[in-house]
Amino acid sequence: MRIFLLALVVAAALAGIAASVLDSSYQKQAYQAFSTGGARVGDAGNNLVGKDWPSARH
Amino acid sequence: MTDRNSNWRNLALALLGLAIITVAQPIQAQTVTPTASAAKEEQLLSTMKQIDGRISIPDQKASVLMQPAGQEWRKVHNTTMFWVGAVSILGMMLALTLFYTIRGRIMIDSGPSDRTILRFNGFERFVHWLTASCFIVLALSGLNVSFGKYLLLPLLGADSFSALSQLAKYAHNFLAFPFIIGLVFMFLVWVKDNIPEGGDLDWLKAGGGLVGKGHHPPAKKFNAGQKIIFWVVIGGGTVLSVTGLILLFPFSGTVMADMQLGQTIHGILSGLIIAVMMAHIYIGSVGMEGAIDAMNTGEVDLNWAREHHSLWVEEVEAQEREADHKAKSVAAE
Repeated sequence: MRIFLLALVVAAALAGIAASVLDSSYQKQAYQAFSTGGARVGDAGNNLVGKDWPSARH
Repeated sequence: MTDRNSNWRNLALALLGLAIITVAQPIQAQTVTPTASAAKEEQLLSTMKQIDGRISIPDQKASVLMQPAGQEWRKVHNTTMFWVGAVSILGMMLALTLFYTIRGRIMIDSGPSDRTILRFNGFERFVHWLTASCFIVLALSGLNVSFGKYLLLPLLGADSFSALSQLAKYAHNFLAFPFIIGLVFMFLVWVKDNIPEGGDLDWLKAGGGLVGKGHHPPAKKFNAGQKIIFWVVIGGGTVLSVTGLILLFPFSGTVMADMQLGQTIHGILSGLIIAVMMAHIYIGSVGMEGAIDAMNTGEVDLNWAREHHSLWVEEVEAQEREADHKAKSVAAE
C-alpha cells in the first residue's frame, strides 16, 4: 500500500513538474499565438475580457 | 407581274431571316454559359488538395479555406473511432461478466499455504503502479473526450461537465509524462522475462489453465498471457505516447494531415488497449484468488505460485539452494 501511495505522489509530482515546465517555456497565451502586435491593444492579455475568462462571463 | 415579283421578294426575305436565326442560335447557346470551362470545386480540390490564401496573423494554418481530408477525418472521428471504442469496451465488459458467471473466480486449487514467495520487489511494484495509476486517469479522461458529452453531460449538467472536462484535460495532458517514464522503466525492468519462448505456445494451447479447473500449464515468471499484456502495453503505450505527443505539441514539425492521422490512431488504439487492460485488471484482482498480492505486498502464496508459475518457482528455489550451499561452504571454511 505504501508503494502504491508513493507511486501516486510521484505521478502527481511529475505531472506538476511537466505542467510547470510547459507553462513557462512552451505554452503561449491565445493573444500571443493567434494575433500580431498590430491587433493587440495596450495591456495585452489583461484587457478586454482579461486573463480570467470564466469570471469575465459574470 | 408586280405582285408576283413582290411575293418572290417576300419569300426570299423570309428564307434569309430563317437562315440568320438558324445560324445565330448556336452562337447564342455558346455565349449564355460563360463559366462552362471554369474550374469546378471538385477539380480544384483534387488538384490542390486544399484551398488556401494569404493572411497576416501568426497562425498561418488559418489561411486554409478548404481541406477535404478534414471531412474524411471527421467521418472517422465521429463514426469509426466512436464505435471501435464503444464496442471493444462494452464487448470486453460483457465477455468478462460471462467468464465470471461461467468460470467463477479462479481459486488456488490446493488451497492457500502458510508460505509466501517474493514475486515483485518494491521497485517493480512502484513502476507498475506509477504506470497503472497514470493509465487509469488517462483512460478515463480520454473516454470523457469521446463519450462524455453523451454519458456525463446529461447527468452533470453543462457547468459541472465543463469544469470536470477541463480538469480531465489538464490531467490527461500532464499525466502523460509520468506514464511515459513508467513505460520506459517497465520495459527495462521486465523485458528480459517477457521474451517469447516455445513453452508459451503450449501455455496458449492449454488455454492458460483458465478454462478448465485443476490443470495449470507450466510457466516461468510471466506466462504467455502476461507476455501478451506486456507487449500490448509496451507497443501500444509507445504508439499512444508518440501520437499523444504529436497532439500535445500541435504543429511542431507536423502538418494538419499528421495531426489528423495521429489523433485517429490515438483514439482507436486507446479504445482497444483499454479493453485489453480491463481483462488484465479483472484477472489480477477479482478474477483470481491471490493474484492481487503480487502487486500489493509483492509476496504471493507459494501454492498459487506453484500452480500458475511452476517453472519460475523451480528457478527461485534452485537459486535459494545454490545460495544456501555457498553460504554453508563459506561457513565451513
